[in-house]
Amino acid sequence: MDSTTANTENRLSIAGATCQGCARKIRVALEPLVTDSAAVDVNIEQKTVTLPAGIDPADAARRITEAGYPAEILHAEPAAKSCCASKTTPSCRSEKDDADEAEAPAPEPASAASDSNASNDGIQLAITGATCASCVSSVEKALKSVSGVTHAHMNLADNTASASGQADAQALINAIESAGYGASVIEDPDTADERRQQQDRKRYRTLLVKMAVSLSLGVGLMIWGMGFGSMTIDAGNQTTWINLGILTLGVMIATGSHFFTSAWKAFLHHNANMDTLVALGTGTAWIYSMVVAVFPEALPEMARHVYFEASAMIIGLINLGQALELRAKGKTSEAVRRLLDLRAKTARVIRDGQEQDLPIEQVRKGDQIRVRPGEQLPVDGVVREGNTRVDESMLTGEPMPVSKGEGDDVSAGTLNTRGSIVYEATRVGSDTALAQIIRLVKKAQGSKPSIGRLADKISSVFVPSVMLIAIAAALVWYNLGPDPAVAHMMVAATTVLIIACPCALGLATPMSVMVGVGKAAEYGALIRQGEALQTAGKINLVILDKTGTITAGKPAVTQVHVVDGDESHLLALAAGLEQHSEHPLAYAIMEKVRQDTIQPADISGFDSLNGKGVAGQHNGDTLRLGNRRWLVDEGLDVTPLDQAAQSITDNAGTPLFVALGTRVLGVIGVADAIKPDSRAAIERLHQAGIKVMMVTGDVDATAKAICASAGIDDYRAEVLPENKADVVNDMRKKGYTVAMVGDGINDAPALAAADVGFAIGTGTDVAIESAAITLMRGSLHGVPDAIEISRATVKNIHQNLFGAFIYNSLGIPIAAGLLYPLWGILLSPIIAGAAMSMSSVTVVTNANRLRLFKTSRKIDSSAKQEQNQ
Amino acid sequence: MTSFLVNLTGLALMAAVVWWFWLAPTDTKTKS
Repeated sequence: MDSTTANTENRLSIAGATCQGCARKIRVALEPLVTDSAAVDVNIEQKTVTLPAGIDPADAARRITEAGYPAEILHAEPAAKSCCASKTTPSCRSEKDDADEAEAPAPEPASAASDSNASNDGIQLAITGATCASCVSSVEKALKSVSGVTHAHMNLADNTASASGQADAQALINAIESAGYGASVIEDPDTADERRQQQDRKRYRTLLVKMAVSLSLGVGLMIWGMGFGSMTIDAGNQTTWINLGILTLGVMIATGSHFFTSAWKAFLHHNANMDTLVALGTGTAWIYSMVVAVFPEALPEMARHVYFEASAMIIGLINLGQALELRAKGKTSEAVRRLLDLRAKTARVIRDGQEQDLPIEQVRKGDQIRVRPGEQLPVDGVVREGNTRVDESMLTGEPMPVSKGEGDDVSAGTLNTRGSIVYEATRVGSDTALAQIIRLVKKAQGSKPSIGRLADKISSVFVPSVMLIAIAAALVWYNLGPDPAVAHMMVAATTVLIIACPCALGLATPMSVMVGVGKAAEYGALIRQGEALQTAGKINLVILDKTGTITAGKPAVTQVHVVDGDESHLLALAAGLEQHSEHPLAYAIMEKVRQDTIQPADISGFDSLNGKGVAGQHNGDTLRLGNRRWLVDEGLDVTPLDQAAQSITDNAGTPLFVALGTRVLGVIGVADAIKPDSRAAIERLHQAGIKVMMVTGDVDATAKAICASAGIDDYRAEVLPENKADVVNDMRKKGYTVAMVGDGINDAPALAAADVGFAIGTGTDVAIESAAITLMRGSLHGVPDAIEISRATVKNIHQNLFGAFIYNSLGIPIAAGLLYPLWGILLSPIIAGAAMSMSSVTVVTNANRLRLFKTSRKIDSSAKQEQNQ
Repeated sequence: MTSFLVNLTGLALMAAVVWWFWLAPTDTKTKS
C-alpha cells in the first residue's frame, strides 16, 4: 500500500445527524464514492465523518450535504488529487496556500474567519429582485460559483437563500449582486422577518403607484388614439406621436426601470429571467413604434401602427400582478407568524425575593418566573410552586388544557388557564421548544421536494427558449404572414415574449410547500423536509410500534387472580420484590400498591433473572415473581392459574406468576393500555386506503389481542428493536410505500429505513430529530393528519404545475399566432401582459386555498366545543 | 434584398441567443 495514503484520512464535520439512521443515510450517500461503505466512519457524537483515503472530500461533502446533513471539510489529505486538479475546492485552497505561502497575504485569524464563513447550518441571505424560477436558478448558480460552497438553495416563496460550506458571507453577497440581485445576511431571523414584512409593504405601495402611473398613460393613449386621433402615423399626427413616444419612454423608465436593470445584469452573466422577457417585449414594442413615428416612410403604409400604449400597459399590468402576488405571498407564512406571535415580550421574574417585569431577552436559565391565569408562559421550565391547567394547543394541537403541578415541564408560548404558578426557567431564548419549532418549520418551508425539480430544470432553459420561439415566430410571420407583415411580426414576437411566464412555474412548488408545512404545524405535525411532505402522500402501509405509539407506554395492573389468601397480600409480596427492580412491569405493580396504599413486604436477597423474573427471600422461603415457563422449570404446578393467565393474555396483558416456596399464590396481569384515540386514528388510516401493521417485541398472543382491539390489519410479534428496520425493509421490498411510526429513540433505525419516519413525541419534545415528521402530541391522529395534509399539498402542487405548464404551452403558441390560419386570431400584447400577471396570481391564490384545508379528524372540534363551554 | 436581410438578422439573433445562453464560456464557475 502507498505509504503516503496509509495513515492519512479526510475528515468532514456534519450537522443535523442525530442517530444511527442518519449515519446509515450518510453512508448510502457516499456509496458511489467508496467501495466499502463500512470504511466510512460516521461519529454522531462528535458530528464528524472520516473518509477512507483517496476520496475527494469536496465531492463527499457535497453528497452528504445533498443527503440533508450540511457538511464541511475539517481535514483533507494531501493525496486528494481529483479535487486539486480544479483548484477550486476548499481543501485544495489550504494546500495551494501552503505552496504560495510566501506570496499570499497573511491569513485571517481562525475565529474571525469562522465568524464570517458559512457554517454547517449555512449562511442565510435575504434576496431582493428575484421574481421567477429563472431568478432562483441564477441565484443558486451564483452561490454555487463561490469557492467553498457545498450546497446552495433559494426559496422564492420567502425570498431567502442559504449556502453551506466554507464560503465568506461577503463573497456570497458579491456573487448574488453581480448576478443582478440584492442580498444581505440574515443575522437574526426574527428581526429579518419583520424587516422583510416592512419592505414588502413598502414595495407593495410602490408597485401600486407605478401601476397607476403606467396604466393611466396606457389607457389614456388607447382612448386618445382610438377615440380622437389615430394609432396609425400620418403627416398630421407624426410630431404628436413622437412626443407621446418620448413621454412613454419616461413613464417606462419611471415605472419599469427595475425590469430593464435586472434584465441587463442577468444578461451580462449569461442568464435570462422574467424581467428579460418583459424588458425585451416592451422594449421591442417601443422601438418599433418609435421607428414608425420617426421614419414612417421606411415602412409600408399598413405597418405604420404604433404600440406605445402596449408598452405602458404591459408594465402597468405586470406591476399590478407583482403587487397582488406580494400580498398573497404574505398570507402563506401565516403559520409561522402565528407561532412568532406566541412569544411573550416580558416575564415576571422573582429575583432576590422581588418580582419584576423584565424583557424576555434578560431572562436567564434558573430564574424563578411567576405566571398568572390568562398569561402566556415566556420560557421553558419546570413548575416549582402551584397547580394549574395549561393550554398547549398552539404548540401541540392538543385541544384540552393539560394539568401541571410541581415538577412538571412547561413550555414557552403555552397559555396558563387557571392557577398562578412559579416555575424555574430551564431553556431560554433560542433554546426553547417554541424557538426550535419555529426554526424547524421555517427550514422545512424553504425546502424543495423533488416534484419541484422538474420545474427548476425547465425554467433554467425557459427564457432563452422563449426568445428563440419569439424570433422564429417573427420570421414565420415576416415570410408567410399577410400584410402588414412587419407589424404582424413585431406583434407576434412581443406577445410571445410577454405571455411566457416562468414566474408561475417558479412559484408553483414553494408556495404550496410553505402553506402545507404551516398547516401540518397547526395540527402538531412538524415536517422536517419538503421531500417527506411529498412522500407522505404516497404511503400505503403504516407500521406502528406498539409501546408508546398505540398504547400509552405505561403498563398498569389490569387483573389480579389469587389461589388462596387475599389480593393485598399477593400485591404486597410482589411489590416487596419489584421495589428493587427497574423493569417497566415493576413500575406498574409499584404504582398499583401506591394507589391501594399497600405496604410492600420485607424481602431479602433480591435477585433479578434475565428473561425469567425476580426472586428473593421472605420469612425463610423463596419468593418468585416471573413467567410461567420459569416456574414450571422450577418444578412448580401452575395449572390452577392457567385459565386466569389465558384471560390476561387474551386482553393483551402479561401474566406474572407469584410463588412462595413450592406454593403458587396467584397471577398478576400487567398490560399497556391502548390510548383512547388510537382506534379512531387507525380507522382514519383505513378510510384513507392505508394498510396498518404493528411490530412489537411482545409474544404472539398479546400482539394478536392488541391488533384485535385497535383494529390493526397485521402484526409482527417478538421482533427485537434492532430488527424492526428489517421488517420495514421487507415491506418496502414487497412494493409498499412504508411509514414507520415510533418513539424516535429505540425505533430510530426503523424510522430511518422507512420511506417516511414519524417520531411520536409527547408534549413539546422536539429534540426528536430522527424522523422526517415529528408528531408533537402523543396521539396517533397526527399520522392521518400529516398524510391528509401531504396529499392535499401534493395535489395543490400538481394543480399549480399543471396550470403553469398548460398556461405556457397554450399561451405561447397562441401568442405566436397559431390560431391565425384557422380563425384569424392574433393576440394583442396587452392581453398577453394581463394573462401573464394573472397566471402567477392564480398560482399563489391556489396555494393559499390550502390554508382552508381541514383534516378528517372529528374529535378536535367537539373537544374544542366542550372546552369553550 | 430586404427580405434576405431580415431573415439573416433573425437567424443571427437566434444563433446569438443559443451561443450566449448555452455555449459561451461564463465568467462564473458552475458546479453540476
